[in-house]
Amino acid sequence: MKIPRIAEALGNIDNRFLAEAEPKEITRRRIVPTVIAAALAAALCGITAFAIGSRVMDMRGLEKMKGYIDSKNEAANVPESLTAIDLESLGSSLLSEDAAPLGPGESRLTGMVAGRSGYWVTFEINLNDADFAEDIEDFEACDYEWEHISAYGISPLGIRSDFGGVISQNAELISAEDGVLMFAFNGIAFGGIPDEIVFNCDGFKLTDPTGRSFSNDSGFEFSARKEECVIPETLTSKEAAEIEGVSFKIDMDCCGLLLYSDEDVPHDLIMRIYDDFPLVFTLKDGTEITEPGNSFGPESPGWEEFTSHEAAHILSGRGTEQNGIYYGFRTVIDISQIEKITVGGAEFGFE
Amino acid sequence: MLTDEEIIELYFTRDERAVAETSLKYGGQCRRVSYNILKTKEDAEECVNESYLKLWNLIPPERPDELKYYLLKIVRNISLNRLKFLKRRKRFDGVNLSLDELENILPDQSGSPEPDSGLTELLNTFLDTLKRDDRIIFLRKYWYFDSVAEITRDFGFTAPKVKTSLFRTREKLRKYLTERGYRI
Repeated sequence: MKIPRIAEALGNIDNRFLAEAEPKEITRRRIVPTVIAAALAAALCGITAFAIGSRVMDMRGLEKMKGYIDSKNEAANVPESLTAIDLESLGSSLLSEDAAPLGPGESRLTGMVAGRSGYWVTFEINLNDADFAEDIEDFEACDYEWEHISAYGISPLGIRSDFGGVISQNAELISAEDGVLMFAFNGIAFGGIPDEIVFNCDGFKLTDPTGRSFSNDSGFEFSARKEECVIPETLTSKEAAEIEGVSFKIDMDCCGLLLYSDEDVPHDLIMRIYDDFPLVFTLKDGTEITEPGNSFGPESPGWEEFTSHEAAHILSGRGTEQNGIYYGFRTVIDISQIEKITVGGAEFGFE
Repeated sequence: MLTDEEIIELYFTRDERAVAETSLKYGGQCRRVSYNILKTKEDAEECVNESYLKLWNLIPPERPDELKYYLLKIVRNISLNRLKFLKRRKRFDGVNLSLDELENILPDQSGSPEPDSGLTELLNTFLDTLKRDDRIIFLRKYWYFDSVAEITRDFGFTAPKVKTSLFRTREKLRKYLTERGYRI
């Protein structure tokens, strides 16, 4: 094997670049002493051993998710007309209202909205059999850091597809009662709605207000089948519209939107849409909300003002049926309030 | 914990505590860089120990300005050489995706105007032209060999942002080198 010459040449670059890029916390995961890791793993074995078969979601998950989303929307000044969405109405009949109490050490999915390009998820962890949990007086005052959250889907044919590995690591505690913690997070998923969705988390660390940290490196996993998810209504643009000669359509639900084409899309065009073309949402009451191009990060203008792209992904080259860009919404929007979306001079109307 | 200057003085006085103090202060960072390249704890540990020995042999006469980066560069270099060795012996089953990605920018010694002429200097200049975020992402991936997930976690960037940034920086670098006479 040859080491690429560029890799070797990089070895001697200026120290100032290395200092700038230096990992903040170098040793967190791999230096956890084996004994401590084993003890924590044993204490939290229930979390690891979450039964995938017990696919119970309860209404409390959705209610709390809605409260969480509302608070996020409020903080981001999202217009009320866009956020008055009733998650329960999207499919509450699919969920159990009488989930059994969560046993010590167990975890489970409690609510999930699985859209075309994104997810809203709540899950619970019962820390009551974890040794360290006894030492923590106020879980809500703790900081939580997730090792890694990922998800993949299993298609009706049994084929596994990773959602680009892109699940935002933003799980937030939304309630903590009697050692049972409920978290919510949103993420981006690609490729439509699969039959089964599996979430993995490598572990988490919590730091209490006094600075003490506790880790769980054993992680957990849970899954849900499509029929157990809330499947939001999806809107497809009425007609295709051309952006620089290429015909596109838009599919959208409360989790995000997909701008796609059945034609081969030049990579250059994809990149320019991604970088330069703002999305303009026109609401039925005439309000216009502009989401600037290349706004895929919290530093971008408009990030906190609307919803928008918590992340986006370029699919050019993955096949003519999916040439396009996914935009995941950071907040849930009521798509029934949207009359049209304009991008790159093209107008996409909705019924 | 001793300062860098104090540790370097230990090396100069040939005091063996120098290695222990170096390990105490920078061992974690060294192991991380090495592990990211080699993917096994044992190999990483060996390379880090080899790096301490090399440091012991280099100081004196060398007196590095910044001990940490001086050491990390040694660790990275030794780990890459170990990877090369393991690959040759078919004793490395893993795939170092970061290296595979760099392979497409400038694969080997052929095609350059002169062997290694100023390539590092060119890279320094190139890195200065990048936006700070792009530079950090690039170096975390190709110098520290961190995964995309680790970069997103530590800096709060989204994974698509990291992947897109890496893609664009690789393309920019390739163009930059091509324009300066490197044949890809």
